[in-house]
Amino acid sequence: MTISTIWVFAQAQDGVPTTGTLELLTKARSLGGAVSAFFLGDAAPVAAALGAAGAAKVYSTGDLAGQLPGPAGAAAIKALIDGGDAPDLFLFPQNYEGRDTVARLSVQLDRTVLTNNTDIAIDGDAVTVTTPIFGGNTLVTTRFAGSAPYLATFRPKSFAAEEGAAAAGEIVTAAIPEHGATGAARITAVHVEESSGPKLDEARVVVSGGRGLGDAGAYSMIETLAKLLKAAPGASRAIVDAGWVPYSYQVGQTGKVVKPEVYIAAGISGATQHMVGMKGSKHIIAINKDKEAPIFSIADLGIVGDVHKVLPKLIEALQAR
Amino acid sequence: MRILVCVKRVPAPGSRISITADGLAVDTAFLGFTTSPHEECAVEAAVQLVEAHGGSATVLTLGPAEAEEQLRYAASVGVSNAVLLATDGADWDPQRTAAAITAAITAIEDRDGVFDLILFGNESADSGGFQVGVRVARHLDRPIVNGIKGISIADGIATLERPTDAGQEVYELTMPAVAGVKEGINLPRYPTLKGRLASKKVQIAIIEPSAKPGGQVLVRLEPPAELTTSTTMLGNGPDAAAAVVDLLEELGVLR
Repeated sequence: MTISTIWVFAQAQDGVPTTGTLELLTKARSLGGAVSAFFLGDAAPVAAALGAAGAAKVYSTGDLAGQLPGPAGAAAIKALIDGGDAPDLFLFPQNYEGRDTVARLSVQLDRTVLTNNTDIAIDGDAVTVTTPIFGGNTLVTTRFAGSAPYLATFRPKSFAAEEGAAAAGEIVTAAIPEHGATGAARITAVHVEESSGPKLDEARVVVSGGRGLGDAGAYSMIETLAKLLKAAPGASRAIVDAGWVPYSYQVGQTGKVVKPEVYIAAGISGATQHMVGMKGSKHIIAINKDKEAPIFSIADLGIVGDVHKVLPKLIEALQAR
Repeated sequence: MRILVCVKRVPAPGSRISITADGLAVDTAFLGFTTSPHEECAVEAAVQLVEAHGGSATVLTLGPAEAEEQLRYAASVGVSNAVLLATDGADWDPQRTAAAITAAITAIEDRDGVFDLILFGNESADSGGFQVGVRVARHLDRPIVNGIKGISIADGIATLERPTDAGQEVYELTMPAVAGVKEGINLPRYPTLKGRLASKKVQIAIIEPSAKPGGQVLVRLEPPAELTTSTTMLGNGPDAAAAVVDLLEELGVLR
């Protein structure tokens, strides 16, 4: 079958489409066919921007009014498809909302969903995706079988977001039907952490700390250094799990994927799970006291030394400028 | 309180993965296996909930006969019942796995009563599909929240905490409910000697799963291209700091 209609699960932050959304729209345009965006919420503020990125139609559910996004989104998409407005291929971002929505949708459609991908190719009738497994040390190629819609999720930064042919960005209302007990979880509280400085997945420079810092207090060196470099502070999973810093700091397979100009890894040994999230950085500088640490296998520049001695010196040198 | 925890047998992290000659499977001959880390925490969470509220915990896996090892491990830390959906060793896709697990849960619940809470790991450590838990919850028509780092139970309500990019969300689910647990929610205990001995006696119920394959075909497995980075050593210890500053200057990030 030919892939003629491609939908992208679009998301926005602070009223603009997320970088991940623009990445998927760019890829969708390159695959040919008509591209549309599905937006969970009121799409009015972002429809023009999604149109500029190539979405001919922007499906809008309107305000969610406190409903859980995943079940509501899946129900709205199912209703569109049942009504005859269906994509051949639907690209979702590999993040909480994308995954949650696509999983619930796929089970209602009784379709497979191929998750965690980094690439997609269409060759005649065959649609294949590439997926790194075991934390990235094996690549799997899988082909969709059966009938469309084909559903797939993609890791952040799998594609570059580029400008291209604009489309109308016409808003189409997608109603959310009644969707039963699976959506019956209620959010009772939301705690927001204060954050300042550049965002981790968008910063030009990222400074991350790991277990080598020794204790939670030593993380302040990472924050000081990050401030001096106008960088975002990051962390390995080990210190997030240890409770030194919040989850939002985590770089890696189960955290954020970052591709900054410069990535400084201080006291991070380089577990596969971490490296998956930062190996695409342009320049990687590693500071570790163990010269055999795996991080040095992907670092462009290395310093063998104790972070407790190297970081203060580095901070001092930067302050002296 | 009846709690079910679903686990998956996966290659041990850090193992070097080799691929069979036909490029269609992982060569398991020399691999070590373990329980997915998120699920190890889910097992611990199940045991802690039973300790606090009474009742019993059951562990279930779909996998080869050798997955008995992962079931016995769960038994050694305090899970009292074990169920194996024995496959022939082939890796089942998420659609098929979820259908088989749903059928097994339905059969067990028809006989022994409903599970108040079903725990999954957030995602498996090998294929990382994030699918099976959500699919099973949907089949059973029960609420699910994934990425959970805190669980408490009172008056038929499960209160779940999920860290987000912006902070944290707290959910309330009327039980029976389902949760995908994330590593870090607790520190899984080590089995005691007594636990190990007891685990040998736990009866494993073996069910032959039947579900048809989902809509995906494996084309090939391959190792990724080797990263060919040559690391330039800027020096040892604090003396290298100046070189880093020069370098950052050169890269133009100090403006």
